Amino acid sequence: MRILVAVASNEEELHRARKHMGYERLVVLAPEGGAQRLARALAPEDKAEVVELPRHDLLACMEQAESLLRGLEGEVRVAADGGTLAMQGGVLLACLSTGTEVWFLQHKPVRLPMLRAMPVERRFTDDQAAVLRALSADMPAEQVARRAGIPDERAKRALLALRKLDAIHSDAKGVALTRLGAYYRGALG
Amino acid sequence: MHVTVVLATVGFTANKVHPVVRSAEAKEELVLFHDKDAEGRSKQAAREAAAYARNLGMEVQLYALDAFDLVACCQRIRGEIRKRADKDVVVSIAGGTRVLGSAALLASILEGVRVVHVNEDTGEPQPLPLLKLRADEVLNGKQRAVLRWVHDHPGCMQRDLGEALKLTKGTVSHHIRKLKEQGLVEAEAMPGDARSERLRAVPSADLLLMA
Repeated sequence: MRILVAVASNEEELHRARKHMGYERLVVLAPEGGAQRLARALAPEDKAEVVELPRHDLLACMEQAESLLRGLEGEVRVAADGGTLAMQGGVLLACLSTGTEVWFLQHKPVRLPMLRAMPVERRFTDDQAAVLRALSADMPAEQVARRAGIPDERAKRALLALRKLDAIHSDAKGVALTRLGAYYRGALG
Repeated sequence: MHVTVVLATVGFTANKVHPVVRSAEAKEELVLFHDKDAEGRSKQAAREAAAYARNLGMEVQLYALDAFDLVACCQRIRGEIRKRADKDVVVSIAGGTRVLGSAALLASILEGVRVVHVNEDTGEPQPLPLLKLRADEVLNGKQRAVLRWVHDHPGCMQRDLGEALKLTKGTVSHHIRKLKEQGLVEAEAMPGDARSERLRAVPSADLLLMA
């Protein structure tokens, strides 16, 4: 089944996606509070569902879009250039993370090459992944090493690298995951 | 953030650039990309952001782009990232058109540098996941050579390609099928000869051919 996922905040953006892309099932990604308005623009034969995404939280948009894309079974194409900048960016990241076909239709229609990011588990060294999994609340670095099951020096190196990736932050109370770090840990499983 | 160079897209306000500059622990250079048109509003916002950064002692570069040309914006931003390959770079995608923001995001991913967005609700910079792409998993050497040749010879046919690259008919056919599946090559049937087709690389193929 050909599934079109269209990011849209108004009827014009939705119409553009529907006009350019053939589909048998339509999923509309609308900004929070905007689903009803877009649902009114759809006909029953569109076989559409409307899912809301946060307007300004790009990471949350990415997480929700990623989960949605992984759950769709069929030939999925995404018309990404609608909604807010955060929605568009989040959906683009989700497409690259899941290897989904993505289009930009405003002005000159452009299909991006099929790009797929490395799975999260391959983006980190074994020590970095162990540290990400070991971290919970604010924790002294030595405790992180013990919980991760690696020597202190290696844990410190991993913590330094993770800090540069904005995955952790540290203060007087110890080391903790940032929101991005929590995303990485969730993806590591 | 441990950053020495901030690359940022700018829209109608400089306010979304400031939080990223403020959060950079090491502040060396700010590179701004703004829409070349937008009745000068984007340029004015970029100048305000530039003045803010200069007051903090940063070097500043401003570039005017066609903020609705995804591929051209992406390539230009990648070029600026590459010029600073020895620096610690972060790209901010908080301002500008959605196309410019997406181009900057794509450029960051293709070049493997960090990217941040500024949450409009909180005004705080939000670091985004570093998505690593492996170029050799997107195109292998032979596919890249085939794509390059098609790109440089729009309207070519498979037999031209085989002769030029000394590839068998079957090999050419295999690579062209793969490139079509990846959305990198389009084919147009020739009138009166359904078995022949003219090939051309799509505009976004440039993203994978950048040396």
